Amino acid sequence: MDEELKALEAELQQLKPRQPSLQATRRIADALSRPAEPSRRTHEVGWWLGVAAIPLAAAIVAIVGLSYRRPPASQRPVAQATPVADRAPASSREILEPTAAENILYDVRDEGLVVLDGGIQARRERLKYIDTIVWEDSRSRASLRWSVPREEVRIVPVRVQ
Amino acid sequence: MEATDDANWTIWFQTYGPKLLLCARQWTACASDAEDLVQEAFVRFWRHQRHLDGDPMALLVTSVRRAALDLGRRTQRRTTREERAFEPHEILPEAPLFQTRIEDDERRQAIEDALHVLPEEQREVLVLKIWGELTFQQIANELEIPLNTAASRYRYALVTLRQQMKEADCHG
Repeated sequence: MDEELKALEAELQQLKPRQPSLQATRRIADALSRPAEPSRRTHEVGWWLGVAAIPLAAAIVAIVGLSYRRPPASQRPVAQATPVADRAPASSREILEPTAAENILYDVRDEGLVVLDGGIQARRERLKYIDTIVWEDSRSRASLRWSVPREEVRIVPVRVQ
Repeated sequence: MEATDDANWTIWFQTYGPKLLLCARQWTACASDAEDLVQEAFVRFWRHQRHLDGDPMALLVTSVRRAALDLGRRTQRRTTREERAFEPHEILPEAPLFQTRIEDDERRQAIEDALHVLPEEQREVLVLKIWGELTFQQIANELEIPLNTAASRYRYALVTLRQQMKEADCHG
């Protein structure tokens, strides 16, 4: 690159892009102060829930539930009569139920052409997601939020005209 | 939101917001659309992506560009139906792209006018490289072009820009 172009490049680098408006900043502050809503890209969520989330959610709830499991009868203390007012609530277990699911597509890469069986040409794409599930206990308002990155590779046949 | 988190996002937005807005302006018809996209991308990034590996600016640019392409396609369909002559990716003269002192305003305007007439493919590479501060490899990945093409477009953009500004100086 000649000196004149370098000088122009240096001049451009000195320019400071304009700050977003105060209104935009306020809208971001407002959005971040609210709890996350399910993504608008929900057309894949139902399918994803069916394939992965439900068994996953069941496993999590089972793990949480196990921590509150009653001990075997032989280890339970002998029941004693207690005044009604002193009795503990019937159940103090937290029951977390899935309340929200979201997936965010944040990267798509074209990994080029591949040849499938039968000589069919296809394009290989790698999609990167963040999947998030939120469980809540409606009584105690306790919540569990789990975000996990996921990659999906798609093979899309290419039509050669 | 905790006070520390609150302070952090405003610092991040002060750092990345202006660069992101300038990049978004390359792919949207107006400044308000660009701000909307930047706002959505930043909220999404702050909630879900800031702990990921990788350059935050590259992640944000990807998010904004894809949203802008979606918006452009929706706008094209609408304007086709309305039979308006409208180029969704043309930068319409609006709020300035850069902030400068008053004495530098004329020069800023000359640069912005020259940027405005650059071919879109050169302008977006130039903006991503200089103000987005992405590497040529990141730009090539984002735009799905070869690395050499990204570098060539950048050079052509500078050459064209220099030529435009010389012509503008000649015409006063």
